[in-house]
Amino acid sequence: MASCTRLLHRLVLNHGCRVCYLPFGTFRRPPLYSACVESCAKVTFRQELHTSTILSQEDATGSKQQQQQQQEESHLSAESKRTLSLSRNLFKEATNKSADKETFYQLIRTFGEVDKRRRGHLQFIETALKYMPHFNVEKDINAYNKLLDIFPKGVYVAKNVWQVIFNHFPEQQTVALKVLQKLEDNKIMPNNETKKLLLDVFGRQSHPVKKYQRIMYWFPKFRNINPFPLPFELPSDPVLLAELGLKRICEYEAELTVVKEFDDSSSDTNANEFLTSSQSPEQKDLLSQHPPYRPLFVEGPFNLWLRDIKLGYYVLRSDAIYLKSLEGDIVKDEDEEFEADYNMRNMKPPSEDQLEGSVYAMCMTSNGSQERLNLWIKKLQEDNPHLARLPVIFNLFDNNTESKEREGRIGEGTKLLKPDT
Amino acid sequence: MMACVKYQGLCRHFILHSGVLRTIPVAHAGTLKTLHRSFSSEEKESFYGSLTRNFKLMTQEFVTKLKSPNIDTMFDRSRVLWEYKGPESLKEFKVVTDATIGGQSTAKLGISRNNKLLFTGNLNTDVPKDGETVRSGFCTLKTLQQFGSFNRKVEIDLTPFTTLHLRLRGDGRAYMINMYCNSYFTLTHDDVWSYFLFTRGGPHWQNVSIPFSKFFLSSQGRVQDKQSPVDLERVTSIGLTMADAVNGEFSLELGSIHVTYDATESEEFVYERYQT
Repeated sequence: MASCTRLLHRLVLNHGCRVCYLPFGTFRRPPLYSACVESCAKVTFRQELHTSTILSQEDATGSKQQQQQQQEESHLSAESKRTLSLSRNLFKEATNKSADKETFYQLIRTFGEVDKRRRGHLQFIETALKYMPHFNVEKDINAYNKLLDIFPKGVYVAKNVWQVIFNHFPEQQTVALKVLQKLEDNKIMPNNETKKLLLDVFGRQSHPVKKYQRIMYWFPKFRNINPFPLPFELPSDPVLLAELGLKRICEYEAELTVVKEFDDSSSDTNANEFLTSSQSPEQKDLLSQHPPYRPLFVEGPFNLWLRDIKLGYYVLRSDAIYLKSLEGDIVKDEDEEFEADYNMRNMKPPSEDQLEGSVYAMCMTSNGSQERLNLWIKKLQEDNPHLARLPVIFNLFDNNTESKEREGRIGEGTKLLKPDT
Repeated sequence: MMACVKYQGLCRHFILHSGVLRTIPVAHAGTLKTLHRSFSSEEKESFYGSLTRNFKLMTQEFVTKLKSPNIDTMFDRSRVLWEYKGPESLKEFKVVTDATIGGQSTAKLGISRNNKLLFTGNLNTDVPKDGETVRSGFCTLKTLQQFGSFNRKVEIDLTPFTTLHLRLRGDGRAYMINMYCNSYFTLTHDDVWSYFLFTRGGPHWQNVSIPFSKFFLSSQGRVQDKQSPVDLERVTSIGLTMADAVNGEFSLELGSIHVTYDATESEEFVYERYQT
């Protein structure tokens, strides 16, 4: 009974290792193959905070430390073999090398070679998770598998129901869960190797395996639900991106035309300038019937997001004079049947075009200046001769002005896709 | 027959749904509103004043329950839950961002230049530095919870319907539609039924229809192992969440939200009911 209260006391006051329940510093020279090795050295549940403050302190002191490290010998000294410094130093040094997945895999191998007992593997895995974006391995399933491979196999498997209930090796399970959570956040599908590793390391009745099962259940269900799917890897060529974007939002029968050579004074690098325009035959018909006393508006740029890339498109549309005049005409009877009423009065319900103004053409361009859009209109006039007789008003949204015309898109500014980035 | 999510992105004409469009019977909606206490008023209601008001409300609710306005929906096939009718339609919504946990996203409600509700803002995924939060970045648009007699939550009964429709115009980003239901146990107070809403972007309006069978259950942000269909008897509010982990501004124009009964939807629930 007394030992139980002592245990609880330890837990509550957080003076002890949460894994072996012994107070911190019990093991100075840890025994061989004890799983509590690093946990007894310095473990709190705020492990991330702990490592992150260390990393931020490093960044604060900055260049001095880096110079010192470079002056030191390349092999790791005994001092730096200590767990926290080890993972920190390994990654700091690796940032000087090329930032690709080979360096990352090499790092993991180095960690295994430095100490066969792999002390500090939890800290190492957590630091690795933080550095994954730097090495561009976030979308690579092999990187996650290699991280999970660091865990020893068979040691953490629960052998009886009490171990399952009490979350056998909770620290290790938490770290594995973090790895799997990162996998889930990056929307990557785990593979058979992940499954085998998790089962070998933690056993069937563990939280990481349960999380893996959840991922394998829900991901396939939500894989194909997007009715406007995008290719897995978006093209980097801005012209192709613009085509992709325009095809997504334009009419089914629309034809896309791409212009790449300009006589503008505004185009410095001719190679990267483009103008993609889309118009369908139906829109051409409507435009040819447009009355000349009603103006046309060129509006833009409106935002279109393709996953994480923002494009801007411009629209040539007629004005929306019907908006105010039709408010009184719209029938809003609650008791009578909507359809029957309209049929009886021989009225058509207001089409969306009349309410807002029909769209006649759309375009995307690398440079959204008025000259470029003038060029677009001239291009359109080749196919729509009637357009030459119509007045066109340019209503371009500006980052700085908050005019009433703007559709309230407030933000950092309407940046078009720049070809250089 | 599989329940399918239908998207009609190219429709440029005003949609009249199959069946008769009817609003909620006036006797039910209008009188309740007059008896609802206006929370903007400064003066405190007297005890007897509040008692009489609440008892009046309760008798009204009892009478409407006897009249069973839901029986009328046997002849309806759709019902408008919300429609943009003017600036006062904005008052039925509220906006919640991650500023509540210390994040930096901003969002606001407004009226778009095409005279519809505009939900716009800037999503910021910077994690607040408090040592505990791991992820951040969400903005939610949610219909306000209505309160009936004695401050009890008003439950909307959507059992005669099978599909949720929205008429909107987005900018290509993906949202989540959430349905919140009233429940007896506090354990289930955080239950949210959600599904994904993919917007097309572009200048044309988009009609989204999602069957109720597709909504999956999650609680406190985690999808639950034991799933169940959305509790249509006790719906309290519907919301839209923007949380697609991409930094940048978003905007969504909302025209209307309505529910319909689609006889071709034979599936009760899409996901397995047993604990997986």
